[in-house]
Amino acid sequence: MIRIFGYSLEKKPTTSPIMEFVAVLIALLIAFGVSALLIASAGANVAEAFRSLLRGSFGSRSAIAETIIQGTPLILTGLAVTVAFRGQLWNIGAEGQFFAGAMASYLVATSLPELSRVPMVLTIFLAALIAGGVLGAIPAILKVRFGASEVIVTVMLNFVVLFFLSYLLSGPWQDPMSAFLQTSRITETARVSRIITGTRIHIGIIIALISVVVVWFLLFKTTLGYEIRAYGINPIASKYKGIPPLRTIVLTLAISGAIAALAGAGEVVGLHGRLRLDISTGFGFTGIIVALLGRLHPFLVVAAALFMGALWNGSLAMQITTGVPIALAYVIRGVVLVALLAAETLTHYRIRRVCDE
Amino acid sequence: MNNFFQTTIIVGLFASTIRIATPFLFASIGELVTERSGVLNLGIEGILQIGALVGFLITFRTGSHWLGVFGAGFSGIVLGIFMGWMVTTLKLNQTVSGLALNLLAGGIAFYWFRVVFADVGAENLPNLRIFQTARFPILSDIPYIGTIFFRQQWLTYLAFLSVPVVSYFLYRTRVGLQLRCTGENPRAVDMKGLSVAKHQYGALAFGGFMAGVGGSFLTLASSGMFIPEIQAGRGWIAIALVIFGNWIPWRILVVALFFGLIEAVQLTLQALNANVPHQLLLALPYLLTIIALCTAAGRSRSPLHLGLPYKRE
Amino acid sequence: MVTKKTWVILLLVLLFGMILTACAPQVEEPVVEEPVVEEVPEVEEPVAEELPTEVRFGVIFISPVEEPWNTAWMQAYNRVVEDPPLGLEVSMTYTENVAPPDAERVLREYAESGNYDILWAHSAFGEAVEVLAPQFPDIAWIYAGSGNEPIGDNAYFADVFIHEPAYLAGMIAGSLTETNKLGAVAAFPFPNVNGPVNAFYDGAKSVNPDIDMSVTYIESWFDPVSGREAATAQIATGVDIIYAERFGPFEAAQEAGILAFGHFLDQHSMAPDVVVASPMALWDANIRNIIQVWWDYTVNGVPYDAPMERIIFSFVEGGSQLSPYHGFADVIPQEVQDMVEETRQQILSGELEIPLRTEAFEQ
Repeated sequence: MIRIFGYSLEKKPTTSPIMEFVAVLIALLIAFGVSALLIASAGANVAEAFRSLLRGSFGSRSAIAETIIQGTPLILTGLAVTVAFRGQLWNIGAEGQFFAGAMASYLVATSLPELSRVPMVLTIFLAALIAGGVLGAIPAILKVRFGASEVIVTVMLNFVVLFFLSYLLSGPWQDPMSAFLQTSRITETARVSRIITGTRIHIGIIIALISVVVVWFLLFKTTLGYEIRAYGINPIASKYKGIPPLRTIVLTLAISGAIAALAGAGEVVGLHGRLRLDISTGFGFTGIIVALLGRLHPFLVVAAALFMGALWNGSLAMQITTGVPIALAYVIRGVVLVALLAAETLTHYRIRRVCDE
Repeated sequence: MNNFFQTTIIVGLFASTIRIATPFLFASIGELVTERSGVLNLGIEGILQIGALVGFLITFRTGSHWLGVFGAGFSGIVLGIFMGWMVTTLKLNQTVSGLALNLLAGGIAFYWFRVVFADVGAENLPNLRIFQTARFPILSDIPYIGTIFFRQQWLTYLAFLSVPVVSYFLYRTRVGLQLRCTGENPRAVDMKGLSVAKHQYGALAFGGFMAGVGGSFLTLASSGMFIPEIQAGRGWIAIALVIFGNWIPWRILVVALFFGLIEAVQLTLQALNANVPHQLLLALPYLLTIIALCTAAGRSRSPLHLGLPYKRE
Repeated sequence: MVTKKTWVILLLVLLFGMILTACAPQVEEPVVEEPVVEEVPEVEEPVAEELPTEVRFGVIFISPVEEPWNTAWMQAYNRVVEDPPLGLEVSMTYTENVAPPDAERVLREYAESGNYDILWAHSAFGEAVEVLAPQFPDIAWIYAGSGNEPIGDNAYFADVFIHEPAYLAGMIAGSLTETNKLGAVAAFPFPNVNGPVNAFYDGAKSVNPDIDMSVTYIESWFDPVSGREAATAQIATGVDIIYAERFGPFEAAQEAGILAFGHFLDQHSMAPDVVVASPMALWDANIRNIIQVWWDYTVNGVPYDAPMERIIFSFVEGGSQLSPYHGFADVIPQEVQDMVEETRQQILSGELEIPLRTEAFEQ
């Protein structure tokens, strides 16, 4: 038990699911209470703001579709982070791996234009898997061979990948028609967008849901998954048990990178149809939040990703309807996130006043 | 190009190295102390931004740069304690808490700036005169050496001074020893009747203070203006430098200077119209950091209990 | 963190909501389609019963408003509000810092609200405009910037060039420099970045053939700390006048006691002791033009018919200008000022044409 300023935090003997749900509700209520104060202080109509928050996230068929679209890359980056973190390997490089996948998909789409749609799309996602896998394996190999921390290497590689992409976009890959920092549009056979009429939902969500099942199977039903989790729980013990860390580390980070790369490929093939420097709104970093909100479980990651997508889109709608600065939407996202995180503790612990010190 | 210019280029290069390293050094030394207590604070990026804003606002209003620096440091302490509340009191996952802090602090900084300067966008960006550089009698006038070492910002000297101070604190004082123990073996600290939480709160407050001051360097000693996301990824580099520096103050000083040097070389090569893709030059500091990390010296040993919440039982 | 059960419940609620809404597409669709069907005949009929008294802008900026690109737009907008065309009351709501992945949903939100007559976007959002413009045919869409393709119909493509005033600024710089070495701190090798940087060099070269120039790209739209360090590095190589395409060089110039030129806005007030002058972008004509286009459509029934090229109001047409010299009127030698004025007149009369070179700078 820890004591701070006369309060103590104790683990409760049991937690009931109802209590957990109530805690989440309370957390969300507190978050929305704080948000309401902020919105009111910005001079906007609070009720209108919350109505538009809901409308923008789930209020209509197109809003739900947009929430799914926003959640799609987050499911994949969240899964990528989940795999790595399960093995206690801190992959902060999902952002760079996202772009590796995007670059690979553009490369395939332009260099093999004669392929018909199905082989084309399969090749694209295969190429993305390889590109992300290779980029993910680099920090793994450096970690095993030289003891280099994967945290630094992945953070640094994020920067390197973006500079490399910028080089490609301002030179060899630049769209000759527009002189913009973007490629020209990829061929129509490489595009699988708007798979549900009237929405922008694209192939990415199918890839994401397949990946969810695959990752679940990998983590919980295969020997490799067991090795990853065992290494994550106790690296030293698993070494003695004969699980070679080299293989586990490289495979874990390569798989993680490959999944993050799928997100990039999905955005290019499904949403943008071309490669640009700014097709990510920090999906790689938000993926870390998604993975941890989803308790590093593939199925929960889906829920967490959709929740983040809903929050993102809802706050955008709120900003537009009320006319408050967009920065307020960012603050509200942060407040909701912190409250949701805090809810976990409150379900497992209780805070008690301690009289005797 | 004649000889005179060559010399000024080299002198300028080293002077830039020290200046560029300064904000990294502040944030990294702070983060070092935090991580030594067993807490990984990934929220540095957000604290830098808040520090940059608070420093700017206070100086803009009062005209006093030092008041701005202290305000920035104080705002860093507040955010550090908030981080402590999340990871020490609530025992939330440290990685996600740090990222949440970034998101929240980034939003607050952006919003706060909008509220204070409602007309920005219709008028020129508000800016202020940055700190005067230091001038020492005699020393500043030594050729070359004077320009490199004795005409820097006062904040730069503070950043460098923090290295021996923190080193002394960690290795030569009782509290420093307890702090390091907290990061290595919190159970032992707890068994001795010392509070793990208090040490971690203290370390986070110090780390926040340093990052806040580092943020104010960006607005008060470097650019003279605030814009959203002014820290531009520097918080991530600072965290990487702590690991690269193997959690040892002196090595962090060396790697921060190394990073600053590569950055300065990159800028100088661009200024000389070097015939290389500038993106390659810009990626150089990051690539070289990876390579340097792989050399024998890169083998790192983190505090054993880093990133794990301490729970009794 | 939230437990499994809670997520399952949330997920169920979510799925349930989706099913509910997915079951009732018939209710939704007419709402979107309605204006299309109804408005088409209305377009043919001229003259609306009541003349509109206001025009409402929805503006989507790709970066925070303090980015000079956006600031220049806001300043022009404010001038239009002060002196409104057609006696209209002009109003505006904006969303800043919109990333391209969010562009379509943000623009759709604006369009669906029905509160806006003109939606002004960035050219990076061209694809989103291409999708949305046909769905909202009564709105005048306009997207501005270099790059991307024209769309036509009710989607107008606009841009602003400042290479002529940048050329004039270069002439001043070429005359004032003592080291014959100029610098420019720029974001990316991007058409709208390269244009003024190249023209600045050409202008300097035209008065001083010995000019050298170095260009540093900081690969960020928004990083004044890097911008300042880039300028400092240039100064160490002997540069004594810097074209500040990005924020940051003014502070370096102040510290080193050299001169600088602003970009896109009159940035004199940011550093009165070093900013000699600034090439300014003036969006006024483009804003007035789109209001006129919208008015003709709404009031006179003239169909939207956007040209298949960018609408650019040139230097001659008032799309750009060189800012006043402010305090530097006494510093710049009179013969240089006369020469710049003479060149300005030559450009205005069409006697001299300043080439727009949008390729990355090369000495």
